[in-house]
Amino acid sequence: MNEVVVTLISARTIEQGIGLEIGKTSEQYQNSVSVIELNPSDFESLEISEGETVEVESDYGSVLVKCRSSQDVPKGRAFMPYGPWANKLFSSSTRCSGMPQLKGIKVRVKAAKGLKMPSIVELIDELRRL
Amino acid sequence: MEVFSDVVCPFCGCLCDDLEITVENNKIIKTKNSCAISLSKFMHHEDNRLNYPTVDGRRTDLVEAINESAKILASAKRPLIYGLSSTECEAINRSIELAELIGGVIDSTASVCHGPTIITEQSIGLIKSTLGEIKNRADLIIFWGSNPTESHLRHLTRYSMFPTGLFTPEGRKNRFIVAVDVRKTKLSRIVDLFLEIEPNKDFELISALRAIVRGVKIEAEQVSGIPINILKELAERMKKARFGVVFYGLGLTQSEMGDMNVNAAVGLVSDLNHHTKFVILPMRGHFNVAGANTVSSWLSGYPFAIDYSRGYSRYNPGEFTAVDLLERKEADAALIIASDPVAHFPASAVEHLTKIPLITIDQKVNMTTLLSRIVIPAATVGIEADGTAYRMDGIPIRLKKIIEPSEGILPDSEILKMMIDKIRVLKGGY
Repeated sequence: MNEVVVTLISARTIEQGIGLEIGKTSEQYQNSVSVIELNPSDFESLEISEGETVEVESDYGSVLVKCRSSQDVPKGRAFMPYGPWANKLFSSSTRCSGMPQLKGIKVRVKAAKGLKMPSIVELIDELRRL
Repeated sequence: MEVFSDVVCPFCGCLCDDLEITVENNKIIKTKNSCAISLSKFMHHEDNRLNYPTVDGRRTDLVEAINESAKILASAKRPLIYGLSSTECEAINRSIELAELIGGVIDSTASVCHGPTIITEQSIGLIKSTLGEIKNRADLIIFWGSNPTESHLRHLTRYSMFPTGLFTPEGRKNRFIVAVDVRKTKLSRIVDLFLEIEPNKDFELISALRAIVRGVKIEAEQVSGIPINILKELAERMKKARFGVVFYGLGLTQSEMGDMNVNAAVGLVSDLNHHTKFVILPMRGHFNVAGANTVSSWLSGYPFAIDYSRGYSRYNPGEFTAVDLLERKEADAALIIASDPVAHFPASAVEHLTKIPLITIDQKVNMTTLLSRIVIPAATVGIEADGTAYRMDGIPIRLKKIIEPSEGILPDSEILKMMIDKIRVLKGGY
């Protein structure tokens, strides 16, 4: 199966800000943060179409999100908005600073045709089962 | 219908204080001067609200929710109090009083945004100025790992790019604007110079600039993906600026070795002050995250990551910061105030939050309230409750109350006072 290894950056977006002020359980919030953006060439190598589900995996966890192509993202890098989907990929290690590294970690992205991205309620249910 | 003028927006660290909010029958019907996020905050503040307190998912009254919370916090051995950045200073004051009373650890969301900034500020200081001074004087502005076009939407128009000022009468024309980022953004398209750097290579780039400013010859052809001749031109421009500013964001603090990045950036600005006036300001995110650090520093001597287990305050980021405490599975209860760590902490820190009694005070349903044993709804600060907040440059600004909250919904500070009073009784009047 096609896979790309990229450096993931997470950050704020306007849509995330608007969505969280409506509410974390709102459709607007969930749609705004459950996404990964790749450079068009990395996106094409996955042989998927715009908005299709991909599995993103780091050394610390994995998550299913929708994938978009973006000219703004350089080849070999990826972008995800802050939120519960991106946070499944980061380590809690802070190297004694208090700050986990939320930008610049290696992740593997592969197509996940037929798999469904979890909703926020499903993410909560997953946490309740821990 | 009533129109409130000079309303302060309680969203980001800009604390824009020129909003006009129209209220009819205790409902907000219109906003003026709001950015897109501020508009969402004011117009949707009633959506997805918590309407009543719950204990174990069961609807209850405020007194029972307070009593149950007090029992948990009074008997916990290692309670954590976390959040604070999206409430006003009186509530932060009460939170610290509560932490001392229960011998707990208290930390704010600063630890996962500008924590490395605060560590640097505590150790070597920051050369800062007010945003007003920058608007009036600055002719070179560098956004480093920060992007106000997504996070501080009116920063460019009010302070840093477009406004006219005393010594910047032509606004944009009087300023040379630089953006340093790892990807193209809306900001990178409208600046005079964009440096697209490699991820986790900020420290190298800052160090190279410091070397050039000090007159050291660099043999490498490029640093962090940027050709050396561009760095030389930038260093020269920095030295010749009349008043330069570095506005930096989480691109520095949340990348590899965030505290070292900030330390290096402050060093660069310090070096530049041998040549000209240069300042450095963190782009603080939550509207009162600067207040959380300030109030905490007054009261405990420390800005965040404070432990009261020995009866006095001790400060140690990496040990008493929330993510570390949870990762070590140390906390045995947590009180979350105006924050959603379940949505914003890395997964393994969140895992421990699901195992301990969680008490949350918030306005809206969020991932943390959905996992909390006790949930207490609060009035929205800056809309349904007044109070003081600190702007990103350290200026305190009074937030207005423009509508009444629903019956029985109190501000954070009053809820915390009730909790403190109850815990004092449980502890035999201590």
